[in-house]
Amino acid sequence: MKIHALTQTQLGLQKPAAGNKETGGDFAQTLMDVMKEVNQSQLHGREMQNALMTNQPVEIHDVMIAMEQASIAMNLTLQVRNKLLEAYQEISRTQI
Amino acid sequence: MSTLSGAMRVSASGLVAERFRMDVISSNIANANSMKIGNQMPYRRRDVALTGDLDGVRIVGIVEDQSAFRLVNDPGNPNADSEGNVMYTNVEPIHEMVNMIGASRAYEANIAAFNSAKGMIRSALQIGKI
Amino acid sequence: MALLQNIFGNHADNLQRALGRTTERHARLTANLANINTPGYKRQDLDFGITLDEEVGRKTRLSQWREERLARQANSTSMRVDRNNVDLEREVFAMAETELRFQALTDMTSRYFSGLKNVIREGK
Repeated sequence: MKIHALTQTQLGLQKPAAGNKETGGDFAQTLMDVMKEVNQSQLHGREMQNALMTNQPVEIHDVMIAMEQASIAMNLTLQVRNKLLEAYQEISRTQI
Repeated sequence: MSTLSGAMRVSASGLVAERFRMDVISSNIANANSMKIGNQMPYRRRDVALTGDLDGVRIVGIVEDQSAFRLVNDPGNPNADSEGNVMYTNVEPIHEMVNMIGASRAYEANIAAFNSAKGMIRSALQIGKI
Repeated sequence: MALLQNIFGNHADNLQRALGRTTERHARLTANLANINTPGYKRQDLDFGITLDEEVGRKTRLSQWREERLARQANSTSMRVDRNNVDLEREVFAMAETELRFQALTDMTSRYFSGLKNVIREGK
């Protein structure tokens, strides 16, 4: 199994260029994009379940996979959030 | 579940068809000693006409086997004709037994296929449970 | 879903397609067994191997040979009076093979997702 390492590029986090006022905005945008995608995968998982419930022609393995991917995407987001929170708290504890 | 539950339905059609064949074969066997009495013709062997495709097998109907009745020379028999022959049914018991075994095996195989689809669905439900 | 695609990679997609293809093969084998006594019926089958994303458009010689062989079976003569060419033992074997393949794939899928969750949890 190839585990794709999460590089900063993949997470969309950009290296803050010195004195660049746009950096904060880019980060927020990236966060929004990620949230949208996670939401999409949640919705897709929900759709698949609905299709199954309404007896539409959908494969059971497709439903299960969609649900798993939604769950993992959510887990990942929560974990990233936790890390960011930790980092923030770490920084705010720094004596100036 | 669509393809897999569709497969279960196809297997069910197979079970219905083979079960019906077994009924008809039983009927043939039950009449294996039928003979012509007076003007009443002996029992004519029956077969099941089937048609089918990827969606399963369907029973078209029952057909009567048009092959000739069997003549047995038995002048002493009250049902013998002017030449001393008695006309018997065109059912051949051994043939029917072979068919019965075949239908029975096919029935079992369709049950195995049905369970296979069921097992695969259960297996898919395990995704993510580790 | 570009971001998530980077994380999940092609692997989940391949597993999903392989599962679908295995299911399709199973459907054909089931129909073969249901029609084992249907006059004139010719068995159907397909190769449950998929082409991986990296190989799209490039068919290996082995998969080509397999497909040709399966196509020939559609027209194969049989020894039966009713021209039906379904062989019970062969179908039962193929079905066992297919079912096991499906279970292996669901297992692999489960483990793959499990692995991802583990990575996210950082092994805790």
